[in-house]
Amino acid sequence: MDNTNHSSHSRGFAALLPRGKAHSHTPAKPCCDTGGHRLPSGHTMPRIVFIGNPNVGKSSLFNALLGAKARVMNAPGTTVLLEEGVYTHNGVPWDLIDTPGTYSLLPLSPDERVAAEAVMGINGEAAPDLIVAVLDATNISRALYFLSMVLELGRPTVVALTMNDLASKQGTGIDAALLSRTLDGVPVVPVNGRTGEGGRELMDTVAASLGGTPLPEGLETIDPRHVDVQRWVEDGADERFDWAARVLDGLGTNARDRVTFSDRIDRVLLHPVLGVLIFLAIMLGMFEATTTLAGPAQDWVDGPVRDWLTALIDVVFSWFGPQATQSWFHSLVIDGVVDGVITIGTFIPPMGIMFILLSLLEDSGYLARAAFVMDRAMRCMGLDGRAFLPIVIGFGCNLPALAATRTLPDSRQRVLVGMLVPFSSCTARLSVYLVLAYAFFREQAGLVVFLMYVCSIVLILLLGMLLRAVQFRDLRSEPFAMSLPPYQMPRLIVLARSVLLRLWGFVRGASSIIISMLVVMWLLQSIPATAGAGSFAQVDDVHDSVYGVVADSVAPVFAPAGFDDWHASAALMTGFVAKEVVVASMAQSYSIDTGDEDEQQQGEGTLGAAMRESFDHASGGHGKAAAVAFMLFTLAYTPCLATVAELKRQFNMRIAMQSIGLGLVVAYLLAVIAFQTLRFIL
Amino acid sequence: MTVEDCPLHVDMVITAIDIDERHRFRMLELGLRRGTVIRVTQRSNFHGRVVSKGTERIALDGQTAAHIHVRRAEHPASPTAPANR
Repeated sequence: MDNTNHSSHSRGFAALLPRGKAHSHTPAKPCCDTGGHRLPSGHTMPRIVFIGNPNVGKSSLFNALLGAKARVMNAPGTTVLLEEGVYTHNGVPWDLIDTPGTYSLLPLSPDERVAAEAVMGINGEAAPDLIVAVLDATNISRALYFLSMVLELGRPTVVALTMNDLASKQGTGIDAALLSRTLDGVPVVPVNGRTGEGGRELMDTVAASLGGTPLPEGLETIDPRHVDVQRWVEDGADERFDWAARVLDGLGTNARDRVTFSDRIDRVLLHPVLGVLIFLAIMLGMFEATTTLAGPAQDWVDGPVRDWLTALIDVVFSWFGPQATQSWFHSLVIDGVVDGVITIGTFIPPMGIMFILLSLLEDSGYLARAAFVMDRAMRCMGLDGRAFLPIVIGFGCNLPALAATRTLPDSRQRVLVGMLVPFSSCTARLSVYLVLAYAFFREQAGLVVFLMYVCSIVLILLLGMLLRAVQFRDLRSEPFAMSLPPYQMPRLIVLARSVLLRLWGFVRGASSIIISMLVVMWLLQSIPATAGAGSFAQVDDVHDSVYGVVADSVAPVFAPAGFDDWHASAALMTGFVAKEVVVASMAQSYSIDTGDEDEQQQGEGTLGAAMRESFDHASGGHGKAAAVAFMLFTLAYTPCLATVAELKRQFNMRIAMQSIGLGLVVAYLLAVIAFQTLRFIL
Repeated sequence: MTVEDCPLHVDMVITAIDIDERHRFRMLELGLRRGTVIRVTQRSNFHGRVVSKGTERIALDGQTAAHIHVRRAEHPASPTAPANR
């Protein structure tokens, strides 16, 4: 960095020029000089937009600067994700905005369009007061080409130079001061987004540059609001490449091609056969980690932690007298609020593990390779190879799978995959399959469960193609051309910070919807609906509550699917909250205590017998066909409340509602078709 | 000869990129344009290729690689040398 001794931005762009610098070029032209504190955009708070190529460490840098103050939001009218936060520099608040990575200001995807519009200040976007152009030192020629477009926008611009340590190892390290001089005084600050190193200097430079920065010789300022952007980008490309080449010559960087450490790793990880096997092994490892490894921690939260919390609340209530623990308010706190808190708590282990693994894959540089390795396999649905990851993870738990959609750079793909993930048959649904399979197909129970997983895969493929043909028609198979970042060793502190921030985002985003919905469920079960059913919050039989009445009124809807039975409809309603409780809800509705029985014992025991009787009765003697229909309905309808909350958090309420609607329609159609077909066979 | 069938680790010069205009321009912006010297550093599944251009590595799917025409570079050249579109 070469301008740290110029702290006052009131002196305009001239203050940014290094003292005593010897230019061989003609003097640089000012691109923007406000000459004071007034902001060009008229904002009360300076709007600082971060932009750069994909995989250059831009978002890491942004998060290192803002930490928990960053919030993710959708760009207006889109599902494209933007990060925004208020950064306070010497007591002055700035509005910082992180945009999706893009190779150009001529966009090829909605994400790139949002980035381009944010930096250009067009189509309703406010013009930025300053642009932070994040450049990858290991890909400097392409970065300079991109920078030339940004500089021509005429906004004050500061260059954040990332990955210079890696470039130095490759023998192509860049002297930031020399680059700044070669750019005729455009400030350049070397930063390390992964550690946050250089962040303070970057922000100091931003403060000093708000008044204006120079426009390097050879570039011409344009007003993006009054030019044809496509013509501007395309017609000026040759000149920009020539300009970038001249800057590179000025740097004296000799980007010689040689076999790098990353090339040697890629020989294995991108090998035609080994590469796919390693990718699948990594997927299997992630699947196991989010299920097997997270399982005991989830049990601990759902068991001892729930007990401790309940005991603590009981103690607090007991201070207000013995009646307090019998009150409806106590029931609301324990069965509504605590249930919600525990539900969120049980998802923290798999989400935490998923965030750790995602951060490892992202930070190491492998995720870009994964997109390449699986590109061909996912292309049939118009999806990026990275879409494979959330769908596989979904078979463990849908919630971390939805979190993994963040790795997809295209917002349309994110939404499509987000709508497909709930059809991945998660382990919570397995308990329902097992009990019904053992109850109705004792000898072939294993085969039936296996077929449910086959159905799940077929459903994802068919729905993927259907959604692509109907709702995502603009999602075409694009040629795959992606810059591969060099491999890096993930840093523990950076990893921990990233995981904690993501976990906090999940808890903050999901808690309100989960707790409020569980309180509604509690309310329905607490209001007596029949004479002699008890008082408020003291209903003995759930069938006598409003919840039971609703289950009764819903049951006939399932007559074409063979399970017009309130026990089944009540279990499905409870399953909307979590699939883990479907079996318990059914047992409760039959007043059967299953104790410590496993799924097989439950299916073959009293619960299984009660279910066979109910389903046989409701289906006119075709209990097995009705059981298959019930399992298919369970497979396809909304996985759980937490998934709905995550869909809303990742996308928006409209997408979450669409997902619920799609799940219900598909589940109902599947169940009806299966029953109407199988009743002639089973 | 195309990027798909050219030998590994040999300097090649791009002679033509035979894809639609929209994506050809993106290739150009990625630094792959007529006259650029590249090397294929890795063959991957379904004929995917990784090409190097100086210190940069760009992954291409098989179909795209088959539409980038190249010839063997006669003289070792700077991979970042300016070239025509």
